[in-house]
Amino acid sequence: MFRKYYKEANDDIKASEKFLNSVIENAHKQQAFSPVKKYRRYAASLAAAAIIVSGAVISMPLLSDKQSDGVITDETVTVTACPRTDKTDTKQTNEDNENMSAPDDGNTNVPPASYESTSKHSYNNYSASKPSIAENARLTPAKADTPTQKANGTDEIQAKQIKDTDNGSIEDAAAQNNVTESTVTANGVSQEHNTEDSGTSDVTGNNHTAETGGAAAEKKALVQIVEDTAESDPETAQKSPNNASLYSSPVADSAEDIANAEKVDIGTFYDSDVPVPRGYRCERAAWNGYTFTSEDGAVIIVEISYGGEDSEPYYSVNGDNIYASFCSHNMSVTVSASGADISVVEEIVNSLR
Amino acid sequence: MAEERSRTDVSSDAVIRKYFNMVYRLALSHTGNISFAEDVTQDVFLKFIQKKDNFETDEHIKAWLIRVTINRSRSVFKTSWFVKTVPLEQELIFETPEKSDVYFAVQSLPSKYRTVIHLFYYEDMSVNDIAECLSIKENTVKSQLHRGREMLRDKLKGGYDFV
Repeated sequence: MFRKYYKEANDDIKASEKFLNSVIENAHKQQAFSPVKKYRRYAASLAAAAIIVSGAVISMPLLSDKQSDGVITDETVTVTACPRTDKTDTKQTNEDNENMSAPDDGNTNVPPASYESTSKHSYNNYSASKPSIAENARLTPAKADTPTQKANGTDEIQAKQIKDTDNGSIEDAAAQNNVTESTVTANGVSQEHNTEDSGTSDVTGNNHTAETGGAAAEKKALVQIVEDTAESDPETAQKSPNNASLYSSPVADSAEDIANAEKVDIGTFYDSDVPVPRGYRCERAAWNGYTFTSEDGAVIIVEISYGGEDSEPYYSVNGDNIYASFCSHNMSVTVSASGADISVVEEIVNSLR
Repeated sequence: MAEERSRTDVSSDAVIRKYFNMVYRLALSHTGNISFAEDVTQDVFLKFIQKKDNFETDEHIKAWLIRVTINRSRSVFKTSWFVKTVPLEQELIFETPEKSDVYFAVQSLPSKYRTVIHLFYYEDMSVNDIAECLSIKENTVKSQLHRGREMLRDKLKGGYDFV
């Protein structure tokens, strides 16, 4: 009975035909657009994910390029003429050595006047100029009978003219106080002056070149050329660049010459790469070194030879004696000083580095 | 391709029309609300359209429709969007009082008893089929049937036999 009445009651319950048709119609719509409708909700998230991934893929090469891997690029290193105090500068100079044609390029802290430049400089009463000394020539102090002339009211100046057979350069001497640097080019006039009656070569203080060696100059000096190839070559060849002694044999000859020569007044001017320290005068300037002396008896001898690996300056102080040595740009330099201040030695060293 | 699609559409429409009232009545019996029953019916057949290719026989379709209808009916009450509805007694009017008394007596039972009673007495399903459809044990179905009948006897008080 229960089952009968319950079935009849449920049979009386029927959905409307309109509702049935709507259900069927919605079913068809669902069936037609089901793939699109099904994944439509994920369209925004998929688009965002695609943008992020593409941005990461595009930016990955850019990020990798910015990373520094420590590799030295091929950027040119600009090296300025400044004192080198650490090894990095040496490294730079080593790199630049490939492009350097001469050891005395702009890297060295030499006076602005390079070997091929013609400029004038003044360093507090000392002068710096380009050395252009013949290999077979050596500048020696002027002899007693060499006529001298005053230069700008200063003491008599003796100078010697060196004949450069190879380069044809001429060195002129000038007063020290008011003389500015004058350089002589390698292709300058090579005039041979008789030592006995050496003429005066006018020296101008303004860009004096060998070609203008005969021009009128404010100061006149006698230049005497002494050629001593047989005597100087063996001595210079035997000289060691790292000779710790203050006076080696070539230097001894220079010292003898200095002792025998007349006193060189202050104001002697020599063409040299090394500026004459304040209070000193250049007694000798040659391709292989210089000798500076002061009024109080201090002596500084600079010996230059070519060859050797670059090294930092080494100083050794023993009482009044100071010794310094270093190698730079295939140039080995030793500085021996007696009675001089170490600051002067350092100054010379820095000027040559 | 068009013919296959038309055949598919015809078969889908036939299935919908064949089991439409069954789903609607079961949904109404479980939810006790015409609006909810219509929503459940709509959802059930939309899901059927999505999965119509997975069915092999009519019995498989029927069992699936019943299972989905019951699950969807249960999820309706889980939502917080409850709408004020008209009582079912005001919307359904039966021809005889016996039908009305029996139907509304079943509607007054708890949902788990109501579902089992409906499937057993109206859909003529066996205990095993009901257990399989509801994913419960047969003993559970039997106990629910027993308790449902006890409650109906107390409500009806008419001497209805529950055969």
